[in-house]
Amino acid sequence: MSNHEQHAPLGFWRKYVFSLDHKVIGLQYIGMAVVMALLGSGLAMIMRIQLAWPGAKLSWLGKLFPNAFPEGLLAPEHYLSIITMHGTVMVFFVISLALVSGFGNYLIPIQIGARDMAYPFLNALSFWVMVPACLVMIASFFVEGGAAASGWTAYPPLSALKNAVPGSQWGQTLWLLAMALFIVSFTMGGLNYVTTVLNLRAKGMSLMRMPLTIWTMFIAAIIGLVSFPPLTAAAIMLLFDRHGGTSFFVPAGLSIAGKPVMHDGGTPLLWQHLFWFLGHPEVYVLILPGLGITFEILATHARKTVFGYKMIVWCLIVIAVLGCVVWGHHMFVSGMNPWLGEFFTIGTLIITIPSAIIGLCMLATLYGGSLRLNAALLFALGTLALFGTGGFGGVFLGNATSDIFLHDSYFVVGHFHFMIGGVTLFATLAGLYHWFPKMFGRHLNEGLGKIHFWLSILGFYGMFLTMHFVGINGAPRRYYDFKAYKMLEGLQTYHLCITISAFTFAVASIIFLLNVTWSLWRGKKAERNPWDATTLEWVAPSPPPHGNWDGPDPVVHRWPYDLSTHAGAKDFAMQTEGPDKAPVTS
Amino acid sequence: MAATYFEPAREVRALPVSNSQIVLYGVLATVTMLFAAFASAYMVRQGSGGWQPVALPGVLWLNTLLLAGSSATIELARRQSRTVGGTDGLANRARLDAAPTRWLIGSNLLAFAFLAGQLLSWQQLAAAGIYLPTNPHASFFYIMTGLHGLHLLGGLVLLAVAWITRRETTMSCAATYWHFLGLVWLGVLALLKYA
Repeated sequence: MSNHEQHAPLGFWRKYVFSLDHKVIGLQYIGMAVVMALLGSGLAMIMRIQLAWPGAKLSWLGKLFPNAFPEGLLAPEHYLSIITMHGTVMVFFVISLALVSGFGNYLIPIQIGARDMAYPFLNALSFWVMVPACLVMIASFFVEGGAAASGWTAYPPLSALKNAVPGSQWGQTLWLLAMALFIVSFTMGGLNYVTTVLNLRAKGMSLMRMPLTIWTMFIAAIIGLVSFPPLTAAAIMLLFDRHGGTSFFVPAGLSIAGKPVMHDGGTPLLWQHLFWFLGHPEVYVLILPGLGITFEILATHARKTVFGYKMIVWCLIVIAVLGCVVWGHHMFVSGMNPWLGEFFTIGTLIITIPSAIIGLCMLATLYGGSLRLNAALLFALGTLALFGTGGFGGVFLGNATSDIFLHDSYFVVGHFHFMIGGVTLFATLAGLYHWFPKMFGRHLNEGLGKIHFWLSILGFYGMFLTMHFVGINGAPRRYYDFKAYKMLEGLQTYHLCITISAFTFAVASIIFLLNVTWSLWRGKKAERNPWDATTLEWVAPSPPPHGNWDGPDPVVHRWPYDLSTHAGAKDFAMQTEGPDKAPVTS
Repeated sequence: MAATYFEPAREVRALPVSNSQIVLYGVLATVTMLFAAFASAYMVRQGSGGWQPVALPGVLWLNTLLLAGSSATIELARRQSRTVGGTDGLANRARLDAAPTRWLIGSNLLAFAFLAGQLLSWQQLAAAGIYLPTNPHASFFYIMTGLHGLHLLGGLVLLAVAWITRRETTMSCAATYWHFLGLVWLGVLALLKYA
C-alpha cells in the first residue's frame, strides 16, 4: 500500500514535544512517570526514615515546608499526607503512566503492524491532559493544609469534611481534580487502544497471532474503560459533599472538635464500594500488561515458544471478568453480610486458578530453554518470582477468615507492594532493558543492569517480605510511630531492616538512572533486531521513524512465538517471514 | 532523514465496524457505567436515612416527549441522508450527498427545548425551596439531570461535527448517541420517580 509521502522534517517542537507519533508520546509518558517516581520514592524514603528512627530531624525539609516539618520533625498529620500522596502518585502517576500509557502507546501500533494509533490527535491530547493532572497533584503539596491526607483510597468522612485533618482542605479538592483529569486522559487513551487493536492490525495479524503484550494491554484498556466511571461518579458526589452541602457519604451524628457536623444520613460504605469497584480492577489494569511484557521477554531471551498461548489468553479474559466482581474483598471488616463476604471470598479464590496457570505457563516457557541471562531476562525472572510470592499472600487476604486478622496490617502493605508495586515495576524495568535498543537505538549497559537487578531484588524482598512478618505480628499500617506502643516496640528491628532495604533499593535505582543517562549518548549502538526477536517492531529501524517502517506495510505470516521450532542457521522466524522461510506453527 | 508522512487513520478494517463506531460504543459503555454507578449509589443512599422523596415537576413529562421527538427527527435525518462512496470505496469516507437539513434543525431545536425544560424544572424546584443540599433525593435529582444535560451538550457537539464534516459515519454515530441519550433519560426518570 503506498501511503508514504515525503514531507519536510518537522521542527523540534512538533517532533519531540507536541508530537502525534505514538512512540514519542509513549516515551513522554515514561519520562513523566520517571519524574513522578522520583517524587513518590522521595515520599517513601521520608516515611521509612520516620519509621526506623522516629523523631529523626530532617532540617532541610523543615526549611522548605515549615508547617509539615516544624523544626525538621515530621508532623503526624503530615505523615498521613505523605502516605496518601505516595500511594496515589505511585499507583496512578507512575505505574499506570509507565506501564499502561507508556508501553501501551509505544508498543500497540508497532507490534500489530500499524503506523500509528487510530486517533493520533486524541492520543496526544490524552498526554496533554495528563500533564495538568500531574501538576495539580504536585501543586496540592503547596496549598494551605498541605496535600490530601485520607489515604490513596480517600475514605470519607476524612476526605469529605474540610476540617477533619489539615490535608482535608484544599489538598483533598486538588486531589479529586487531579484524579478527574487522570480519568479523562486514561479514558481517551483506552478508547484509542481498543480501536487500534481491533481495527488497525496488519494483514495476517489475526487476534490469535497478537503478541501477549498486546492482548494484555487490550484487556487492561477494556477493564479501565468500564471500571473508572464508578470512581468518577463517586468523585462527583464527594465534591458535592465537600463543596455543595450534600450528604452522600457523611453519616449523621459526627462532631469535630466538639462542633456537630451539618450532614446527616450518608454512608461512608457507599464510597468504599464505588472506590473499590475501580480500585480492584485497577490492580489488573496494571498487573496484566506487566505479565504480557514478562511473557514476551521470557520467550525471546529463553529462546522458547510461549507455553500455552491460547490458554493464557483465556486465563487473562477470565481474570479480567472475575476481577471486576470481587472488589468487596477489600471491605471484609466493613460489617458486610457474611453471605456477601462468602461470595467475594469464593470469587477471589477462583482468580488464583487462572493466575496460577499463567505463572505455570511462565515456568513451562522457561523449561528446556537456552537462557540468555541478560538484565532484561533477569528482571522478567524477578517479575515471575514476585508474582509467585505476592500471590501466596493474596490467598490469605482473599479469604475473609484470615483477612479479618490481617486487615489493615503491614501484611497488606507487603502483599500489594509485591503485586502492584513489584510485578509491575520489575516488568516495567524488564521492558525498558528489552526495548531500550529499539526506543533509542542504543543498548543499556549490561553490567550496570545486572548490579541494578541484584540490588533491586534484594532490596525489594528485604522491604516487603519483612513487612509481611511485621504485619503478622500485629503492626497496623499508616501508624506514625511504632515506639509509642509497648506491644509493637519489639518490631523496631524489623522496621530498621525495611529501611535499610529501602536505601539499598534507592541506590539500585540511582545506578539505573545513571545507566540510562550514560547509555542514551554513549551506549552500544543497537541493530534492528539485537535480541533475535520475532515481533514487528524489530523489523523497523532502531529507533523507528515516524510511521515505524521504512519499507512497505508489514504483512504477517505467523504468530509471534516461532522460536526454537526449526533447525537451521537461526532459531527463530520473524512474524513477517513467509512459510517458505520456516514452517508456520500457528 | 526526512520524516515519513503517512495517513494516520489508515483503515485496515480488520473488523466490520468503523473506528468511530468502536469509539462510540466505548464512550457509551463508559457513560452506562457512570449512570449505573449513580443508580446503585441512589439505592444504597435511599436505605441509609434522611431520605425524603421530592415531588418531581410535571414539566419532566413534556421534556420526555421533546427528547423523544428529537430522537425521532435525527433518525429521519439519518435515514434520508443518501451517501456517495468515497474514492477508495471505504464506507467511512462516504459523504452525505443530500443534506437532511430540516430534520437536523428540528432535532436541534427539540434538544434545546428539552434543555430549557430541564432548567425550568430546576427553577420550579428551587422556587419550592428545594435545593441541591436540601435532601438526598433532591441531590440526586440535580446531579443526575445535570450530568444528563452535559451528556446532551456533548451530543450537540457531535451533531455539529456531523453537520460540518458531512461524514456518513459521524451522522450515524450521532444518531446512535441520540437514541442512547433518550434511553438514559428514561432510566434516570424512572429511577428518580419510582425507585
